[in-house]
Amino acid sequence: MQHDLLAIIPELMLIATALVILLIDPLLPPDGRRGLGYLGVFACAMAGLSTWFLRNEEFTAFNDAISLDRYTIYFKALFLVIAVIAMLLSEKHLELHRRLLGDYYSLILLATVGMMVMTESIDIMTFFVGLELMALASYILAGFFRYDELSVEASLKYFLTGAFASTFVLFGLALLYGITGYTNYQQIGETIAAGNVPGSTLVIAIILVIAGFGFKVGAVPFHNWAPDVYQGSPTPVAAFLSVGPKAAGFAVLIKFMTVILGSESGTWVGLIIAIAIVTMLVGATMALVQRDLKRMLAYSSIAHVGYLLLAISASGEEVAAFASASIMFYLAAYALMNLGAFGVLVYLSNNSSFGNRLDDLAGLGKQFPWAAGILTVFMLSLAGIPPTAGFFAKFYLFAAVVDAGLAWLAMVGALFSLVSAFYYLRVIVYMYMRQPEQELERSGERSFDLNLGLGLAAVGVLLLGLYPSPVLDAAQDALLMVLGF
Amino acid sequence: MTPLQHYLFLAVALFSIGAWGVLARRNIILVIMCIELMLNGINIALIAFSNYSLDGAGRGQVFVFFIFAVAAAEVAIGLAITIALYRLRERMSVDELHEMKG
Repeated sequence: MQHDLLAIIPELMLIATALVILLIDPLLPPDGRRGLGYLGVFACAMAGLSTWFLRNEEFTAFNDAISLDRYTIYFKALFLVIAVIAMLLSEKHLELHRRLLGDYYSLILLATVGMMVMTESIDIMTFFVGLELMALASYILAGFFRYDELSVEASLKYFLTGAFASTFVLFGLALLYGITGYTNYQQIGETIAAGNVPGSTLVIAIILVIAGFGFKVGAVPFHNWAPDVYQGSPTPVAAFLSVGPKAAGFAVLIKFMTVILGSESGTWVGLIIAIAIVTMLVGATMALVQRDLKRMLAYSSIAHVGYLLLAISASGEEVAAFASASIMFYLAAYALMNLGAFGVLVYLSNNSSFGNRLDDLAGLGKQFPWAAGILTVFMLSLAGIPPTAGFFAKFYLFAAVVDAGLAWLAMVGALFSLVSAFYYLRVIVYMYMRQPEQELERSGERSFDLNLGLGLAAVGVLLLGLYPSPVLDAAQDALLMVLGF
Repeated sequence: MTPLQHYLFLAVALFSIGAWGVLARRNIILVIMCIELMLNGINIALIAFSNYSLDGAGRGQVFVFFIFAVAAAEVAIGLAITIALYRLRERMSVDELHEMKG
């Protein structure tokens, strides 16, 4: 009993803080609300500390609803880092749009709890509740600027597609329960491996679950919501949505594909490979033609989902551990560089008349040397150029795919990666080599938080690029302990 | 006793009608209702599975309670966002969602 609560101490801390923020928010004077962000960051730090103390524990809790192990600890730490950076990026932006409210921080914390529950669940019911907690909080976050038409439109699109996709995941899960009689991942997996389940129903269940996850992580052909949602929602929210739910989605996908469907890899590997190739194709080519930077980053994140799916298909082969570890490392690197790239857009729109268009970048190297420099780091990392995190992330990922005997697939991935380098480097070219038609108007709104958030992301990207082994080792450790590779 | 297939047929029928409605309807409230219909189809499937499956724990029925709670929260949020849109545009159609393209 006491053990059970021990497993969810970080979640309890975040939920308590979210509720406290909601309670005291109306009592504060308008300019006192800034402190709420620090309260949220503090809660995340405390939760991080408690996960550190729990790092060597390994047990299941609440009647096998959730499990605490290295794998969940790794992802919990990642989600906390994402939440902290997202909150640091937000404060000034919200204030400038007169939407600095406590609700915002509560929602970020609750979405983070949802991601944690998803990742630690080993039961499809718990997983579903975690998924919805994350999703519902993100629908509201996308529409947080509710007097802005684009933001509301983004929110509604996200809600309608997200709720629709959830029903497909749910139907797939219901079928898995129906044919096996269990809701626990391990038991479902064993029953399927034993082989006395109706094959056609199993295939339908697999297709439904993959389609639903495809929606959630933004894989083609279920990606249509992503560009609109990232463009319309407030930029710090777009930063959070482009990394958090994706990392959580892949954390669960790895578990699903190995624990539940590991014995059926013959059925789904081909499907995942097909989705991965189309996803990379659409992501890379559509990003080429975008003039809006947030849309470009949205399509670029679709391309990144394609690379990650490559590694998922590799995890159906015998080198599953290496493939999954490379996904975990990639997600960490991707989280930092994408948060950073969106963060620079937040910085620029806070400080000037910057409108998120590619043309607005012209001459930025002179006008905002620091922001331009840091954006260069993130773009190089997204393109996968050393010495940044993105390089090692892609390197390990493609190495895992080659090891799985899918060298041709790694070649395809590398090819699309080359295409994508074009639109990342174009950003740098615009900043340093183009003369602006007219300079951006400065409005001089500095913010310590924002600079701190950007600094953290940039240092993280460079650190992971120069010295990746601790994080990679942590990922491999986690898999060794958990999935029994 | 009614065979399991009959329940599943009803469940799949409800799910499909709901899915068709989500894709075909223009009014946002109706789209949200159709999503509820899909969820109810799943609920019927879960209860039927729970009744006919070999495990006596009734997990499927418990699952349905979770889905109820989540569906209620989902509708609350969906309607709130719809109202936010209505205040800005005075319309409630999916066709209003056309500002962003590309």
